[in-house]
Amino acid sequence: MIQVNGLCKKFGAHFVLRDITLRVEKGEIFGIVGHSGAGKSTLLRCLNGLETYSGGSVRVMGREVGSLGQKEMLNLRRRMGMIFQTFNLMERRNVFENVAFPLEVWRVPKERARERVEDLLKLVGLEGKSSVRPGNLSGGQKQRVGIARALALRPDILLCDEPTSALDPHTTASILDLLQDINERFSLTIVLVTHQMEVVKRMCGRTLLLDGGLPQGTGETSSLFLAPPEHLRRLIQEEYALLSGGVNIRLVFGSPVPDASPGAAAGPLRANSGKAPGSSSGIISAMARDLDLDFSIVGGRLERYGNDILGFLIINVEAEEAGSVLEYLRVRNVSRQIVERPAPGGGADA
Amino acid sequence: MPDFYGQISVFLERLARIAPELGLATLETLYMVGLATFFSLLAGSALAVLLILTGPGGLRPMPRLYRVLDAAVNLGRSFPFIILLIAILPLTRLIAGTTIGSTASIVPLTIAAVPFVGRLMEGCLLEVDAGVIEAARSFGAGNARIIFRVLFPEALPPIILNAAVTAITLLGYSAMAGAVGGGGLGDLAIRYGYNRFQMDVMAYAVVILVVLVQIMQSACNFLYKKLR
Ligand SMILES: Nc1ncnc2c1ncn2[C@@H]1O[C@H](COP(=O)(O)OP(=O)(O)O)[C@@H](O)[C@H]1O
Ligand SMILES: [Mg+2]
Repeated sequence: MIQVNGLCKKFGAHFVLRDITLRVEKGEIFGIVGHSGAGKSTLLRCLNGLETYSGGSVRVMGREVGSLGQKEMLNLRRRMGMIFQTFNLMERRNVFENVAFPLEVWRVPKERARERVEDLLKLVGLEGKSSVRPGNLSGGQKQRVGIARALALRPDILLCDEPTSALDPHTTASILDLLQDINERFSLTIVLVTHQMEVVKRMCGRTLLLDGGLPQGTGETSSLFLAPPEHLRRLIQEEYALLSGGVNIRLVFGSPVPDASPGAAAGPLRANSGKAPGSSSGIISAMARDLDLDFSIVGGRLERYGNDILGFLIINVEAEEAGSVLEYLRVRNVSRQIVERPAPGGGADA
Repeated sequence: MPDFYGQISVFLERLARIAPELGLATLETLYMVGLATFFSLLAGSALAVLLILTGPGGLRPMPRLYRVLDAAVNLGRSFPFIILLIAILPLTRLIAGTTIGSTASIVPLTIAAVPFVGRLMEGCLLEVDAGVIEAARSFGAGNARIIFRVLFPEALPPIILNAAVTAITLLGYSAMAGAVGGGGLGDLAIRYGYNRFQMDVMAYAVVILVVLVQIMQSACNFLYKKLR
Protein backbone atom coordinates (compact mmCIF):
# COMPACT_ATOMS: atom_id res chain seq x y z
CA MET A 1 0.00 0.00 0.00
CA ILE A 2 2.65 2.44 1.13
CA GLN A 3 6.37 2.07 0.56
CA VAL A 4 8.73 4.74 1.86
CA ASN A 5 12.43 4.46 1.07
CA GLY A 6 15.19 6.65 2.48
CA LEU A 7 12.84 9.61 2.90
CA CYS A 8 14.50 12.90 3.91
CA LYS A 9 12.85 16.21 4.63
CA LYS A 10 14.56 19.50 5.34
CA PHE A 11 13.13 22.77 6.57
CA GLY A 12 15.82 25.20 5.48
CA ALA A 13 19.10 23.57 6.37
CA HIS A 14 17.59 21.60 9.23
CA PHE A 15 16.73 17.92 8.72
CA VAL A 16 13.30 17.11 10.14
CA LEU A 17 13.21 13.59 8.70
CA ARG A 18 16.22 11.52 7.80
CA ASP A 19 16.44 8.21 6.02
CA ILE A 20 12.96 6.93 6.84
CA THR A 21 12.09 3.56 5.40
CA LEU A 22 8.80 1.85 6.06
CA ARG A 23 6.24 -0.34 4.41
CA VAL A 24 2.53 -0.46 5.16
CA GLU A 25 0.53 -3.46 3.98
CA LYS A 26 -3.06 -3.38 2.88
CA GLY A 27 -5.50 -3.67 5.76
CA GLU A 28 -3.03 -3.23 8.60
CA ILE A 29 -2.88 -0.57 11.29
CA PHE A 30 0.62 0.82 11.20
CA GLY A 31 1.87 2.98 14.06
CA ILE A 32 4.30 5.86 14.02
CA VAL A 33 5.24 6.84 17.54
CA GLY A 34 7.63 9.37 19.03
CA HIS A 35 7.80 12.38 21.26
CA SER A 36 6.48 15.73 20.19
CA GLY A 37 8.68 17.36 17.58
CA ALA A 38 9.98 13.99 16.38
CA GLY A 39 8.69 14.63 12.87
CA LYS A 40 5.65 12.36 12.95
CA SER A 41 3.18 14.84 11.48
CA THR A 42 5.65 15.84 8.80
CA LEU A 43 6.14 12.20 7.84
CA LEU A 44 2.41 11.62 7.69
CA ARG A 45 1.90 14.73 5.55
CA CYS A 46 4.53 13.49 3.11
CA LEU A 47 2.33 10.44 2.50
CA ASN A 48 -0.54 12.45 1.01
CA GLY A 49 1.58 15.17 -0.50
CA LEU A 50 0.60 17.92 1.92
CA GLU A 51 4.33 18.26 2.45
CA THR A 52 7.05 17.98 -0.17
CA TYR A 53 10.17 15.98 0.58
CA SER A 54 13.83 16.61 -0.09
CA GLY A 55 15.03 13.10 -0.84
CA GLY A 56 14.08 9.46 -1.05
CA SER A 57 10.91 7.95 -2.34
CA VAL A 58 7.30 7.77 -1.16
CA ARG A 59 5.15 5.36 -3.13
CA VAL A 60 1.46 5.16 -2.29
CA MET A 61 -0.73 2.68 -4.13
CA GLY A 62 2.01 2.27 -6.69
CA ARG A 63 2.58 5.94 -7.45
CA GLU A 64 5.49 8.18 -6.50
CA VAL A 65 3.82 11.00 -4.53
CA GLY A 66 6.52 13.59 -5.27
CA SER A 67 6.15 13.30 -9.04
CA LEU A 68 2.37 13.59 -9.28
CA GLY A 69 0.84 16.44 -11.24
CA GLN A 70 -1.70 18.67 -9.57
CA LYS A 71 -4.71 16.74 -10.76
CA GLU A 72 -3.24 13.32 -9.98
CA MET A 73 -2.34 14.60 -6.54
CA LEU A 74 -5.95 15.57 -5.83
CA ASN A 75 -7.07 12.17 -7.07
CA LEU A 76 -4.60 10.45 -4.77
CA ARG A 77 -5.83 12.48 -1.80
CA ARG A 78 -9.36 11.49 -2.67
CA ARG A 79 -8.34 7.93 -1.88
CA MET A 80 -6.68 8.86 1.43
CA GLY A 81 -8.73 10.21 4.33
CA MET A 82 -7.14 12.11 7.18
CA ILE A 83 -8.13 12.91 10.77
CA PHE A 84 -6.48 15.32 13.16
CA GLN A 85 -5.75 15.96 16.82
CA THR A 86 -7.67 19.24 16.68
CA PHE A 87 -10.49 17.75 14.54
CA ASN A 88 -10.33 20.70 12.10
CA LEU A 89 -14.06 20.94 11.48
CA MET A 90 -15.69 23.94 9.88
CA GLU A 91 -17.32 25.88 12.70
CA ARG A 92 -19.99 27.49 10.57
CA ARG A 93 -21.23 24.23 9.07
CA ASN A 94 -23.25 21.73 11.03
CA VAL A 95 -22.34 18.06 11.41
CA PHE A 96 -24.13 17.01 8.26
CA GLU A 97 -22.56 19.75 6.14
CA ASN A 98 -19.10 18.99 7.49
CA VAL A 99 -19.35 15.32 6.56
CA ALA A 100 -20.87 16.24 3.20
CA PHE A 101 -18.08 18.64 2.32
CA PRO A 102 -15.71 16.17 0.62
CA LEU A 103 -18.66 14.87 -1.41
CA GLU A 104 -19.49 18.43 -2.40
CA VAL A 105 -15.88 19.04 -3.47
CA TRP A 106 -16.00 15.95 -5.69
CA ARG A 107 -19.43 16.88 -7.03
CA VAL A 108 -21.28 13.84 -5.81
CA PRO A 109 -24.99 14.32 -6.67
CA LYS A 110 -26.97 15.76 -3.75
CA GLU A 111 -29.27 12.81 -3.20
CA ARG A 112 -26.49 10.24 -3.18
CA ALA A 113 -24.41 12.47 -0.92
CA ARG A 114 -27.28 12.73 1.54
CA GLU A 115 -27.62 8.95 1.78
CA ARG A 116 -23.88 8.55 2.17
CA VAL A 117 -23.72 11.12 4.97
CA GLU A 118 -26.61 9.49 6.81
CA ASP A 119 -24.92 6.08 6.57
CA LEU A 120 -21.67 7.58 7.85
CA LEU A 121 -23.33 9.30 10.78
CA LYS A 122 -24.92 6.00 11.72
CA LEU A 123 -21.55 4.27 11.42
CA VAL A 124 -19.86 6.68 13.83
CA GLY A 125 -22.84 6.82 16.17
CA LEU A 126 -23.98 10.38 15.54
CA GLU A 127 -27.49 9.86 14.18
CA GLY A 128 -29.68 12.72 15.27
CA LYS A 129 -26.78 15.17 15.51
CA SER A 130 -27.00 16.22 11.84
CA SER A 131 -27.90 19.82 12.44
CA VAL A 132 -25.67 20.50 15.45
CA ARG A 133 -22.70 22.85 15.04
CA PRO A 134 -19.27 21.44 16.02
CA GLY A 135 -19.06 24.07 18.76
CA ASN A 136 -21.81 22.23 20.64
CA LEU A 137 -20.19 18.79 20.47
CA SER A 138 -17.83 17.07 22.89
CA GLY A 139 -14.27 16.24 21.82
CA GLY A 140 -15.13 12.61 21.17
CA GLN A 141 -18.14 13.58 19.07
CA LYS A 142 -16.03 16.02 17.08
CA GLN A 143 -13.53 13.30 16.30
CA ARG A 144 -16.40 11.06 15.20
CA VAL A 145 -17.45 13.78 12.76
CA GLY A 146 -13.82 13.96 11.59
CA ILE A 147 -13.79 10.20 11.03
CA ALA A 148 -17.08 10.29 9.13
CA ARG A 149 -15.78 13.12 6.95
CA ALA A 150 -12.53 11.27 6.28
CA LEU A 151 -14.46 8.18 5.21
CA ALA A 152 -16.93 10.05 3.00
CA LEU A 153 -15.08 9.36 -0.25
CA ARG A 154 -14.52 5.67 0.63
CA PRO A 155 -10.74 5.99 0.89
CA ASP A 156 -8.33 3.05 0.81
CA ILE A 157 -6.07 4.56 3.44
CA LEU A 158 -6.85 6.54 6.58
CA LEU A 159 -4.12 8.78 7.99
CA CYS A 160 -4.56 9.64 11.67
CA ASP A 161 -2.49 12.44 13.20
CA GLU A 162 -2.74 12.12 16.99
CA PRO A 163 -6.45 11.32 16.79
CA THR A 164 -6.85 10.81 20.54
CA SER A 165 -4.31 13.21 22.00
CA ALA A 166 -6.94 15.81 22.88
CA LEU A 167 -9.32 13.28 24.45
CA ASP A 168 -9.75 11.82 27.93
CA PRO A 169 -8.89 8.13 28.46
CA HIS A 170 -12.46 6.92 28.29
CA THR A 171 -13.21 8.78 25.05
CA THR A 172 -9.86 7.69 23.67
CA ALA A 173 -10.87 4.06 24.15
CA SER A 174 -14.16 4.57 22.35
CA ILE A 175 -12.51 6.32 19.38
CA LEU A 176 -9.88 3.58 19.15
CA ASP A 177 -12.64 0.96 19.18
CA LEU A 178 -14.33 2.80 16.34
CA LEU A 179 -11.12 2.94 14.30
CA GLN A 180 -10.50 -0.74 14.89
CA ASP A 181 -14.04 -1.56 13.86
CA ILE A 182 -13.67 0.45 10.66
CA ASN A 183 -10.33 -1.18 9.94
CA GLU A 184 -11.83 -4.66 10.23
CA ARG A 185 -15.11 -3.95 8.52
CA PHE A 186 -13.76 -2.24 5.43
CA SER A 187 -10.22 -3.68 5.55
CA LEU A 188 -9.16 -0.06 5.55
CA THR A 189 -5.42 0.53 5.85
CA ILE A 190 -4.67 2.88 8.75
CA VAL A 191 -1.51 4.82 9.51
CA LEU A 192 -1.70 6.07 13.07
CA VAL A 193 0.62 8.76 14.39
CA THR A 194 0.71 9.35 18.12
CA HIS A 195 2.93 10.13 21.07
CA GLN A 196 0.82 7.88 23.28
CA MET A 197 2.62 4.56 23.65
CA GLU A 198 -0.48 2.82 24.97
CA VAL A 199 -2.36 3.72 21.79
CA VAL A 200 0.10 2.00 19.45
CA LYS A 201 0.35 -0.99 21.76
CA ARG A 202 -3.35 -1.47 21.60
CA MET A 203 -3.93 -0.64 17.94
CA CYS A 204 -0.93 -1.31 15.78
CA GLY A 205 0.45 -4.62 14.59
CA ARG A 206 3.64 -2.95 13.51
CA THR A 207 5.19 0.30 14.62
CA LEU A 208 7.93 2.71 13.64
CA LEU A 209 9.65 4.55 16.47
CA LEU A 210 10.77 8.01 15.52
CA ASP A 211 13.01 10.35 17.46
CA GLY A 212 14.55 13.59 16.28
CA GLY A 213 13.57 12.74 12.71
CA LEU A 214 15.49 9.48 12.78
CA PRO A 215 13.95 6.00 12.71
CA GLN A 216 14.85 4.32 16.01
CA GLY A 217 13.32 0.95 15.43
CA THR A 218 10.56 -0.73 13.54
CA GLY A 219 8.80 -4.06 13.72
CA GLU A 220 6.10 -5.95 15.56
CA THR A 221 4.73 -3.61 18.20
CA SER A 222 4.78 -6.24 20.93
CA SER A 223 8.42 -7.21 20.39
CA LEU A 224 9.37 -3.56 20.21
CA PHE A 225 7.81 -2.77 23.57
CA LEU A 226 8.15 -5.99 25.54
CA ALA A 227 11.78 -6.61 24.78
CA PRO A 228 13.08 -3.26 23.60
CA PRO A 229 16.70 -3.03 22.50
CA GLU A 230 18.87 -1.22 24.99
CA HIS A 231 18.86 2.16 23.22
CA LEU A 232 15.07 2.26 23.01
CA ARG A 233 14.30 1.80 26.65
CA ARG A 234 14.48 5.43 27.57
CA LEU A 235 12.57 6.43 24.44
CA ILE A 236 9.59 4.25 25.24
CA GLN A 237 9.41 5.35 28.85
CA GLU A 238 10.32 1.99 30.27
CA GLU A 239 12.41 3.14 33.13
CA TYR A 240 12.49 1.41 36.43
CA ALA A 241 14.48 2.23 39.47
CA LEU A 242 16.60 -0.87 38.90
CA LEU A 243 18.33 -2.30 41.95
CA SER A 244 22.03 -1.61 42.02
CA GLY A 245 23.21 -5.03 43.15
CA GLY A 246 22.73 -8.33 41.36
CA VAL A 247 21.36 -8.87 37.89
CA ASN A 248 18.05 -7.58 36.58
CA ILE A 249 16.26 -10.02 34.32
CA ARG A 250 13.20 -9.23 32.26
CA LEU A 251 10.80 -12.10 31.65
CA VAL A 252 8.29 -11.71 28.85
CA PHE A 253 5.04 -13.58 29.21
CA GLY A 254 2.88 -14.47 26.29
CA SER A 255 5.81 -14.05 23.97
CA PRO A 256 4.85 -12.14 20.85
CA VAL A 257 6.76 -14.67 18.76
CA PRO A 258 4.84 -17.82 19.69
CA ASP A 259 7.31 -20.57 20.44
CA ALA A 260 6.82 -24.28 20.24
CA SER A 261 6.60 -24.75 23.96
CA PRO A 262 3.41 -26.44 25.11
CA GLY A 263 3.90 -24.79 28.50
CA ALA A 264 0.81 -22.84 29.38
CA ALA A 265 2.77 -19.84 30.54
CA ALA A 266 4.60 -19.15 27.33
CA GLY A 267 1.95 -18.96 24.63
CA PRO A 268 0.13 -15.71 23.92
CA LEU A 269 -2.48 -15.22 26.60
CA ARG A 270 -5.93 -14.49 25.32
CA ALA A 271 -7.67 -11.44 26.63
CA ASN A 272 -10.55 -13.48 27.94
CA SER A 273 -8.51 -16.34 29.40
CA GLY A 274 -8.69 -14.65 32.75
CA LYS A 275 -5.68 -16.51 34.09
CA ALA A 276 -2.93 -14.34 32.69
CA PRO A 277 -1.48 -13.13 35.98
CA GLY A 278 -1.77 -16.49 37.70
CA SER A 279 0.00 -18.51 35.03
CA SER A 280 2.88 -16.06 34.74
CA SER A 281 3.46 -15.97 38.43
CA GLY A 282 3.26 -19.76 38.35
CA ILE A 283 6.59 -20.11 36.65
CA ILE A 284 8.18 -17.60 38.98
CA SER A 285 7.19 -19.36 42.15
CA ALA A 286 8.05 -22.73 40.62
CA MET A 287 11.49 -21.39 39.78
CA ALA A 288 11.99 -20.03 43.27
CA ARG A 289 11.17 -23.47 44.67
CA ASP A 290 13.15 -25.51 42.15
CA LEU A 291 16.28 -23.38 42.41
CA ASP A 292 15.83 -22.58 46.09
CA LEU A 293 16.34 -18.96 45.30
CA ASP A 294 15.54 -15.51 46.66
CA PHE A 295 14.68 -12.73 44.27
CA SER A 296 13.14 -9.28 44.31
CA ILE A 297 10.51 -8.05 41.95
CA VAL A 298 11.59 -4.81 40.35
CA GLY A 299 8.57 -4.12 38.24
CA GLY A 300 6.25 -5.47 35.64
CA ARG A 301 3.12 -4.87 33.68
CA LEU A 302 0.38 -6.60 31.77
CA GLU A 303 -0.82 -4.83 28.67
CA ARG A 304 -3.19 -5.31 25.83
CA TYR A 305 -1.53 -5.64 22.44
CA GLY A 306 -4.31 -5.79 19.89
CA ASN A 307 -6.39 -8.71 21.12
CA ASP A 308 -3.66 -10.28 23.23
CA ILE A 309 -2.71 -9.57 26.78
CA LEU A 310 1.03 -9.66 27.07
CA GLY A 311 3.25 -8.69 29.91
CA PHE A 312 6.67 -8.65 31.42
CA LEU A 313 8.22 -8.89 34.83
CA ILE A 314 11.65 -7.68 35.88
CA ILE A 315 13.26 -9.57 38.74
CA ASN A 316 16.55 -9.03 40.49
CA VAL A 317 18.71 -11.99 41.50
CA GLU A 318 22.19 -12.38 42.98
CA ALA A 319 24.91 -12.25 40.33
CA GLU A 320 26.06 -15.83 41.01
CA GLU A 321 22.54 -17.17 40.54
CA ALA A 322 21.89 -15.36 37.26
CA GLY A 323 23.33 -18.17 35.13
CA SER A 324 21.10 -20.86 36.55
CA VAL A 325 18.02 -18.63 36.37
CA LEU A 326 18.61 -17.87 32.70
CA GLU A 327 19.15 -21.56 32.00
CA TYR A 328 15.96 -22.48 33.90
CA LEU A 329 13.99 -19.97 31.79
CA ARG A 330 15.64 -21.04 28.55
CA VAL A 331 14.68 -24.68 29.11
CA ARG A 332 11.09 -23.61 29.73
CA ASN A 333 11.06 -21.37 26.70
CA VAL A 334 10.33 -18.13 28.51
CA SER A 335 11.63 -15.04 26.69
CA ARG A 336 14.18 -13.34 28.90
CA GLN A 337 16.62 -10.51 28.70
CA ILE A 338 19.20 -9.01 31.01
CA VAL A 339 18.39 -5.39 31.70
CA GLU A 340 21.43 -3.17 32.14
CA ARG A 341 21.16 -0.19 34.39
CA PRO A 342 21.48 3.12 32.56
CA ALA A 343 25.03 4.38 32.56
CA PRO A 344 25.79 6.80 35.40
CA GLY A 345 25.31 10.37 34.23
CA GLY A 346 22.52 9.17 31.96
CA GLY A 347 20.16 11.07 34.19
CA ALA A 348 18.13 8.44 36.01
CA ASP A 349 19.46 8.08 39.52
CA ALA A 350 17.48 5.70 41.66
CA MET B 1 -45.57 82.12 25.31
CA PRO B 2 -46.70 83.31 21.87
CA ASP B 3 -43.04 84.01 21.23
CA PHE B 4 -42.22 80.34 21.83
CA TYR B 5 -44.88 79.13 19.41
CA GLY B 6 -43.64 81.68 16.96
CA GLN B 7 -40.16 80.28 17.14
CA ILE B 8 -41.45 76.72 16.66
CA SER B 9 -43.40 77.73 13.59
CA VAL B 10 -40.40 79.53 12.09
CA PHE B 11 -38.32 76.44 12.78
CA LEU B 12 -40.84 74.13 11.15
CA GLU B 13 -41.20 76.44 8.19
CA ARG B 14 -37.47 76.46 7.53
CA LEU B 15 -37.28 72.70 8.02
CA ALA B 16 -40.12 72.19 5.55
CA ARG B 17 -38.32 74.41 3.04
CA ILE B 18 -35.05 72.53 3.37
CA ALA B 19 -36.55 69.03 3.75
CA PRO B 20 -36.71 68.08 0.03
CA GLU B 21 -33.09 69.07 -0.39
CA LEU B 22 -32.07 67.13 2.73
CA GLY B 23 -33.93 64.09 1.46
CA LEU B 24 -32.30 64.29 -1.94
CA ALA B 25 -28.85 64.73 -0.40
CA THR B 26 -29.45 61.71 1.85
CA LEU B 27 -30.39 59.59 -1.16
CA GLU B 28 -27.29 60.78 -3.01
CA THR B 29 -25.12 59.88 -0.05
CA LEU B 30 -26.66 56.43 0.22
CA TYR B 31 -26.19 55.93 -3.52
CA MET B 32 -22.52 56.95 -3.43
CA VAL B 33 -21.65 55.07 -0.29
CA GLY B 34 -23.70 52.02 -1.24
CA LEU B 35 -22.14 51.56 -4.66
CA ALA B 36 -18.64 52.48 -3.54
CA THR B 37 -18.90 49.97 -0.67
CA PHE B 38 -20.16 47.30 -3.05
CA PHE B 39 -17.41 47.84 -5.64
CA SER B 40 -14.67 48.16 -3.06
CA LEU B 41 -15.78 44.97 -1.32
CA LEU B 42 -15.60 43.14 -4.65
CA ALA B 43 -12.23 44.54 -5.68
CA GLY B 44 -10.91 44.40 -2.13
CA SER B 45 -11.85 40.71 -1.85
CA ALA B 46 -10.00 39.96 -5.06
CA LEU B 47 -6.99 41.81 -3.69
CA ALA B 48 -7.24 39.93 -0.40
CA VAL B 49 -7.36 36.60 -2.24
CA LEU B 50 -4.19 37.54 -4.11
CA LEU B 51 -2.54 38.55 -0.83
CA ILE B 52 -3.36 35.33 1.02
CA LEU B 53 -2.55 33.10 -1.97
CA THR B 54 0.87 34.60 -2.55
CA GLY B 55 1.71 35.49 1.04
CA PRO B 56 4.00 33.53 3.36
CA GLY B 57 2.41 30.17 4.15
CA GLY B 58 -0.23 30.79 1.48
CA LEU B 59 -1.68 28.21 -0.86
CA ARG B 60 0.57 29.41 -3.65
CA PRO B 61 3.46 31.44 -2.16
CA MET B 62 5.01 33.98 -4.55
CA PRO B 63 7.19 36.16 -2.30
CA ARG B 64 8.10 38.75 -4.90
CA LEU B 65 4.53 39.41 -6.08
CA TYR B 66 3.41 39.50 -2.45
CA ARG B 67 5.98 42.15 -1.59
CA VAL B 68 4.84 44.32 -4.50
CA LEU B 69 1.16 43.98 -3.57
CA ASP B 70 1.90 44.56 0.07
CA ALA B 71 3.80 47.78 -0.67
CA ALA B 72 1.07 48.95 -3.07
CA VAL B 73 -1.58 48.42 -0.41
CA ASN B 74 0.41 50.37 2.16
CA LEU B 75 0.97 53.17 -0.33
CA GLY B 76 -2.72 53.27 -1.23
CA ARG B 77 -3.72 53.38 2.40
CA SER B 78 -1.34 56.16 3.32
CA PHE B 79 -2.64 58.51 0.60
CA PRO B 80 -4.81 61.28 2.14
CA PHE B 81 -8.25 60.95 0.57
CA ILE B 82 -8.61 64.61 -0.34
CA ILE B 83 -5.35 64.46 -2.35
CA LEU B 84 -6.31 61.20 -4.02
CA LEU B 85 -9.61 62.77 -4.94
CA ILE B 86 -7.89 65.52 -6.90
CA ALA B 87 -5.01 63.40 -8.20
CA ILE B 88 -7.29 60.98 -10.00
CA LEU B 89 -9.64 63.54 -11.53
CA PRO B 90 -8.60 62.55 -15.09
CA LEU B 91 -9.34 58.89 -14.33
CA THR B 92 -12.68 59.88 -12.81
CA ARG B 93 -13.59 61.79 -15.99
CA LEU B 94 -12.56 58.78 -18.08
CA ILE B 95 -14.76 56.37 -16.12
CA ALA B 96 -17.74 58.50 -15.12
CA GLY B 97 -17.69 61.04 -17.96
CA THR B 98 -17.67 63.92 -15.47
CA THR B 99 -15.92 64.98 -12.28
CA ILE B 100 -18.92 66.55 -10.58
CA GLY B 101 -21.84 64.93 -8.83
CA SER B 102 -22.45 61.79 -6.87
CA THR B 103 -21.84 59.31 -9.72
CA ALA B 104 -18.40 60.78 -10.31
CA SER B 105 -17.63 60.54 -6.57
CA ILE B 106 -18.06 56.78 -6.64
CA VAL B 107 -14.76 56.46 -8.54
CA PRO B 108 -12.42 58.06 -5.98
CA LEU B 109 -14.38 56.58 -3.09
CA THR B 110 -13.96 53.06 -4.48
CA ILE B 111 -10.31 53.54 -5.32
CA ALA B 112 -9.56 54.91 -1.87
CA ALA B 113 -11.34 52.00 -0.18
CA VAL B 114 -9.87 49.08 -2.15
CA PRO B 115 -6.50 48.85 -0.37
CA PHE B 116 -8.24 49.39 2.94
CA VAL B 117 -10.79 46.64 2.28
CA GLY B 118 -8.06 44.39 0.86
CA ARG B 119 -6.14 44.60 4.12
CA LEU B 120 -9.21 44.07 6.29
CA MET B 121 -10.32 41.06 4.25
CA GLU B 122 -6.81 39.61 4.26
CA GLY B 123 -6.96 39.77 8.04
CA CYS B 124 -10.36 38.02 8.11
CA LEU B 125 -9.24 35.24 5.78
CA LEU B 126 -6.01 34.71 7.69
CA GLU B 127 -8.05 34.17 10.83
CA VAL B 128 -9.51 30.96 9.39
CA ASP B 129 -7.89 28.04 11.21
CA ALA B 130 -4.99 26.58 9.21
CA GLY B 131 -6.12 23.12 10.32
CA VAL B 132 -9.44 23.53 8.55
CA ILE B 133 -7.62 24.43 5.34
CA GLU B 134 -5.35 21.44 5.80
CA ALA B 135 -8.37 19.18 6.25
CA ALA B 136 -9.89 20.47 3.02
CA ARG B 137 -6.61 19.89 1.21
CA SER B 138 -6.38 16.39 2.67
CA PHE B 139 -9.43 15.17 0.83
CA GLY B 140 -8.50 16.73 -2.45
CA ALA B 141 -10.03 20.20 -2.50
CA GLY B 142 -8.25 22.51 -4.96
CA ASN B 143 -7.33 26.11 -4.24
CA ALA B 144 -10.47 27.60 -5.78
CA ARG B 145 -12.70 25.35 -3.66
CA ILE B 146 -10.74 26.19 -0.56
CA ILE B 147 -11.07 29.92 -1.18
CA PHE B 148 -14.75 30.00 -2.05
CA ARG B 149 -16.11 27.06 -0.06
CA VAL B 150 -13.93 27.23 3.03
CA LEU B 151 -12.23 30.58 3.55
CA PHE B 152 -15.00 33.02 2.66
CA PRO B 153 -17.86 31.07 4.29
CA GLU B 154 -15.86 30.48 7.47
CA ALA B 155 -14.77 34.12 7.62
CA LEU B 156 -18.22 35.55 6.83
CA PRO B 157 -19.07 36.99 10.26
CA PRO B 158 -15.92 39.13 10.58
CA ILE B 159 -16.28 40.08 6.91
CA ILE B 160 -19.73 41.48 7.70
CA LEU B 161 -18.32 43.56 10.53
CA ASN B 162 -15.62 44.89 8.24
CA ALA B 163 -18.22 45.75 5.62
CA ALA B 164 -19.75 48.04 8.25
CA VAL B 165 -16.38 49.60 8.98
CA THR B 166 -15.89 50.17 5.25
CA ALA B 167 -19.33 51.70 4.67
CA ILE B 168 -18.92 54.02 7.64
CA THR B 169 -15.45 55.10 6.58
CA LEU B 170 -16.79 55.77 3.09
CA LEU B 171 -19.62 57.80 4.58
CA GLY B 172 -17.00 60.06 6.12
CA TYR B 173 -15.03 60.21 2.85
CA SER B 174 -18.22 61.00 0.94
CA ALA B 175 -18.63 64.15 3.00
CA MET B 176 -15.14 65.17 1.89
CA ALA B 177 -15.99 64.39 -1.71
CA GLY B 178 -18.93 66.70 -1.18
CA ALA B 179 -16.48 69.53 -0.54
CA VAL B 180 -15.36 69.42 -4.16
CA GLY B 181 -18.85 69.20 -5.62
CA GLY B 182 -19.46 65.53 -5.08
CA GLY B 183 -23.06 65.89 -3.97
CA GLY B 184 -24.70 64.32 -0.94
CA LEU B 185 -25.01 65.43 2.67
CA GLY B 186 -21.45 66.68 2.93
CA ASP B 187 -21.94 68.89 -0.08
CA LEU B 188 -25.18 70.23 1.39
CA ALA B 189 -23.63 70.91 4.78
CA ILE B 190 -20.79 72.85 3.23
CA ARG B 191 -22.91 74.81 0.78
CA TYR B 192 -25.44 75.97 3.40
CA GLY B 193 -23.52 75.82 6.65
CA TYR B 194 -20.04 76.93 5.65
CA ASN B 195 -20.76 79.17 2.69
CA ARG B 196 -24.09 80.68 3.77
CA PHE B 197 -23.88 80.41 7.56
CA GLN B 198 -27.15 78.44 7.77
CA MET B 199 -26.00 76.44 10.75
CA ASP B 200 -29.31 74.66 11.18
CA VAL B 201 -28.95 73.00 7.75
CA MET B 202 -25.48 71.86 8.64
CA ALA B 203 -26.82 70.47 11.92
CA TYR B 204 -29.54 68.48 10.12
CA ALA B 205 -26.98 67.03 7.75
CA VAL B 206 -24.77 66.00 10.64
CA VAL B 207 -27.70 64.46 12.53
CA ILE B 208 -28.66 62.43 9.48
CA LEU B 209 -25.05 61.24 9.08
CA VAL B 210 -24.97 60.18 12.74
CA VAL B 211 -28.24 58.29 12.35
CA LEU B 212 -26.96 56.57 9.18
CA VAL B 213 -23.83 55.41 10.96
CA GLN B 214 -25.91 54.02 13.82
CA ILE B 215 -28.20 52.15 11.47
CA MET B 216 -25.35 50.63 9.45
CA GLN B 217 -23.46 49.51 12.53
CA SER B 218 -26.54 48.02 14.21
CA ALA B 219 -27.58 46.20 11.05
CA CYS B 220 -24.14 44.64 10.67
CA ASN B 221 -23.94 43.73 14.36
CA PHE B 222 -27.29 42.03 14.04
CA LEU B 223 -26.15 40.08 10.97
CA TYR B 224 -22.91 39.16 12.68
CA LYS B 225 -24.70 37.68 15.68
CA LYS B 226 -27.12 35.87 13.46
CA LEU B 227 -24.47 34.34 11.22
CA ARG B 228 -21.92 33.36 13.81
N1 LIG C 1 6.71 24.49 8.35
C1 LIG C 1 7.78 24.25 9.13
N2 LIG C 1 8.88 25.02 9.02
C2 LIG C 1 9.97 24.77 9.78
N3 LIG C 1 10.05 23.78 10.69
C3 LIG C 1 8.99 22.98 10.84
C4 LIG C 1 7.80 23.16 10.07
N4 LIG C 1 6.91 22.21 10.43
C5 LIG C 1 7.52 21.48 11.38
N5 LIG C 1 8.77 21.93 11.63
C6 LIG C 1 9.73 21.35 12.57
O1 LIG C 1 9.87 20.00 12.26
C7 LIG C 1 9.97 19.22 13.43
C8 LIG C 1 8.95 18.10 13.39
O2 LIG C 1 7.66 18.63 13.46
P1 LIG C 1 6.38 17.70 13.46
O3 LIG C 1 6.41 16.83 12.27
O4 LIG C 1 5.19 18.56 13.62
O5 LIG C 1 6.60 16.83 14.77
P2 LIG C 1 5.57 15.92 15.58
O6 LIG C 1 4.32 15.80 14.78
O7 LIG C 1 6.29 14.64 15.77
O8 LIG C 1 5.34 16.62 16.89
C9 LIG C 1 9.79 20.16 14.60
O9 LIG C 1 11.06 20.42 15.12
C10 LIG C 1 9.22 21.39 13.99
O10 LIG C 1 9.69 22.52 14.68
MG1 LIG D 1 2.36 16.40 15.30
